[in-house]
Amino acid sequence: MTRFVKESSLTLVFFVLLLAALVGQAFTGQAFYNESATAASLPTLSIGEYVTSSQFTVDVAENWQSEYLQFLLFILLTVWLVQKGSPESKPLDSVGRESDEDQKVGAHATDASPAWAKAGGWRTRLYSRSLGLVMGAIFVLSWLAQLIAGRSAYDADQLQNLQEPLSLGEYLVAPDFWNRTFQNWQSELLAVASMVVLSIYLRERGSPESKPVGESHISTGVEN
Amino acid sequence: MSDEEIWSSADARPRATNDARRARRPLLGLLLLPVVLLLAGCSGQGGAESQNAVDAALRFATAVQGDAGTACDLLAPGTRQELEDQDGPCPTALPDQNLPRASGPGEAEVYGKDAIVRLSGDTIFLARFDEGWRVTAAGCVDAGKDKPYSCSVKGN
Repeated sequence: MTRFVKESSLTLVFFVLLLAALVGQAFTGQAFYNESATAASLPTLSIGEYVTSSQFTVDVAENWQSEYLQFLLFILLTVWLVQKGSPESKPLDSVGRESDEDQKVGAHATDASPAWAKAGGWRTRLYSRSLGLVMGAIFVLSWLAQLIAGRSAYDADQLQNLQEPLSLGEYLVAPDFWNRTFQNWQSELLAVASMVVLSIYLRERGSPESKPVGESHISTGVEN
Repeated sequence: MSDEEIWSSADARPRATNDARRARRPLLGLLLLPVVLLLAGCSGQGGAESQNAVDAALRFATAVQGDAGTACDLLAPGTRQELEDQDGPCPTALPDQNLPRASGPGEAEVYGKDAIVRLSGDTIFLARFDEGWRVTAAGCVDAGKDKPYSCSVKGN
């Protein structure tokens, strides 16, 4: 158990931080919702009602879909696109899916390679793209959750303002859906661009996301 | 290598690989928990509450025609307060609002604790308080695209 905790500390700490942030979002979101409801003499929500409400779900889902889109784009585009000097990029001469030997698949797999890397055929083809496929699937599902929950939350607001609710199709092309989407996308894309560029010139000793402190600015694809 | 050979070779894997696979299971489980939480709040549209909202709207529409006291009790607190601030005690003020005669069947759209019920003759907005569905606005007419309904009785 101790070994598991030590060897998985990165995931465990981020998961604890995620839970703490979700709890913070739940309580502050409930307070914010109830402020408006009380001002309008409308029903308030308990914390249990709020975390199972479409208001909370859309606020979570709109952030998650953009995170997974960020990872999906980053994972896929770094196969073919490069940035000279960035540790986030592949070396300039490694653009593309690379050779089977470099990727240790099929005949070039080792004893420690995953089974589907050794298997060949559709299994290896599928496994070779599994990271992008799963990130893409989670992106699509969370964007769908944003659409469904967002429509419900928007329509609740419409009814509180004595306005006509929208159908799912109408909400799909509504400014609220796309405004939520674009404001999340812009920040994710900015984060990736910032990381790619800043890591060319700046260092963080010991972090695998940084080049070694003394590494040249023009070294590409080199990390600690 | 056949499927059988691939999957049966799992038992012959080095101990370190099996340990790694066991370690991944709790990590994958952690990833699934947020997905479960996300699904919990996905629908937002209450099936059972649709009928409750229609029933409350119909009770209000019926009471308005002859039992102002009951109709006033079915108003949301804010709506009743607004009416009384403008026109005096509710049981005497409500009949003066000339609400249209409305009847069933009704059709409801419910989103969380908010509902719109379209009756034959009127459109009524409701909200679900601890004591049940209450009318937040009645005598409502569609005022056009992107504009609020124009309602004879409504809250602030």
